[in-house]
Amino acid sequence: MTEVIGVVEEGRIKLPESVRLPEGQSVRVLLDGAWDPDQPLPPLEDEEWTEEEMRLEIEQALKQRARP
Amino acid sequence: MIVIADAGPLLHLFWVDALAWALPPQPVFVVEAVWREVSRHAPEALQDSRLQRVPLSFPVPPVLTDRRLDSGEEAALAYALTQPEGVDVLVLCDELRARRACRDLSLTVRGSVGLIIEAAQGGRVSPETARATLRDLPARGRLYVSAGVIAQALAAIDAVEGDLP
Repeated sequence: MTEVIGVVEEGRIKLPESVRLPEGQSVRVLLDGAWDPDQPLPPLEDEEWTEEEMRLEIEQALKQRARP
Repeated sequence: MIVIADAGPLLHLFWVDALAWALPPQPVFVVEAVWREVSRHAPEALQDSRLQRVPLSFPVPPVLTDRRLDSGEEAALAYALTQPEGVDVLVLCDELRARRACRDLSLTVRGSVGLIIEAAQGGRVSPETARATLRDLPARGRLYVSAGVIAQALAAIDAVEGDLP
């Protein structure tokens, strides 16, 4: 077995570009540190919704109803 | 109206089990970069029959560069901008940077929250289910929004409920 060090980016394991794995290859992942399976996953967005953005969203959504 | 989706609403709504009733009841176009992004997170979300894969790539116009959009957002907006003048375009997106770009470019944008509100207005979902779904968006849905800000949307559902026959 060959050991390769990767890093987690956006929930995915990124390996060095020099590592080429054939399709279907099994890999074993050993974690440094503890892993909490109940830890909530991070949000998708980079920016948190603001009150103003929500106000605009609601205004537009409700406007749809008013359109003939 | 042509509806073009970024990855955010498709994933958020899928994760809170709302895709079936919250997506507009018409074809929703998904450009290749977005399709791949959704596929990485939740390929099952792409099984909805309304989703139409757009396998083509489109040149990114200068108005979209330097806006720090990710590849999916950029591709979706580039596709939206290719639509003929006079055609109503609705972009489904939850990333604030891309939403600002849509407004700057006079593209109508709607996010997961707006789609849930519209579904409640249209009777596709009960107000009770809409409220529960909105409450689920931050955690299970992974939308970057606080419970405090979601409260604004909950109040909107109350208003919608008051208008329902």
